[in-house]
Amino acid sequence: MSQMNEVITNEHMTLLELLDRLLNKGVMIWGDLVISVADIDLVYLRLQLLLAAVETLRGEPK
Amino acid sequence: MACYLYALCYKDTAPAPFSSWPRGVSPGGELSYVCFGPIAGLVQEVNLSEFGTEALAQNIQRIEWLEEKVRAHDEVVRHLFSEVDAVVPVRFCTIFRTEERVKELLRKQAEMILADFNRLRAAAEWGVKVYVNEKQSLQAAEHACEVSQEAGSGIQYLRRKQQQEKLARQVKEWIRGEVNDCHQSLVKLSREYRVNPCEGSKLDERMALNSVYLVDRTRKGEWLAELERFSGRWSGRSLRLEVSGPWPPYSFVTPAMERDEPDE
Repeated sequence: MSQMNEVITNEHMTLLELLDRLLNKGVMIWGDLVISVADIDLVYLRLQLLLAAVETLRGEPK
Repeated sequence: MACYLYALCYKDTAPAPFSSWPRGVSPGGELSYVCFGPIAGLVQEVNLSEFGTEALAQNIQRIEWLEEKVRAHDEVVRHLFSEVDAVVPVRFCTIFRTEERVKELLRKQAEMILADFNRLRAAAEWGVKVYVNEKQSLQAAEHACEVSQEAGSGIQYLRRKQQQEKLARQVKEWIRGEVNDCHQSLVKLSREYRVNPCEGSKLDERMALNSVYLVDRTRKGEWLAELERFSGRWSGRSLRLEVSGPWPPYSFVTPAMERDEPDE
């Protein structure tokens, strides 16, 4: 199933998948200079909207 | 200069030297380990002009900067993950003033970190999303059941309406059953899992499953075969799988319970 293999390669990892894990998860230790949670949430939200819009645009010609 | 923490691993398995490693979020900054007891924290020297509180607040607003650094962070964690059994990833941009402060944290959180090493050892994270095109599956079902699309009148119209509603219910049920079947089959192959809210839709598609699974590295073949099975079963049937992985176990780390008092 070629579609499947394509999906599994890491090149296809979208930025959002990454941000989801790096900004949202792994909340393990608080450093001295962490970005405040409110800041992170805002950035994350903004990016989600932005990237969703980009994906929609990319999907449109199909 | 400050100390950027990427991930934790057992000190006795910590791979070095760093010559063939990715360059990290601060190319030029040296990678090293800060150790406490059996725990090693993988760190890199970063410049406060880029990673200080104020600079950071500015920088994360710039998507190009964020994308570059997020990818660089992931590359380093991924490299460590490819070399050792147990990795506990740390959140993006966790920065300490000194190595001493890192040590202090490792000491305070040691119990939790060691428990996570145990839970996460020799396993990888996989993300699975299922998208469904309900409109398309309903149309297909109507077509298959030969529900007339012609405008009728009176009793004909009512009958058709009823038939359509019944079909819509059946289609919804079928979708729910399939998604649940898929999830349960994947759960059987995994050590742990988390179900995330289904947010976001793409064009005509609605997200019907958004989960992450922690899967033994030795079961990767079985795991992929199971995904192929569902992907094949759904091909052309308006359900679609989106898989990402293997990931370092980002989503399975125990979140810190309390905030360690930062001296800001």
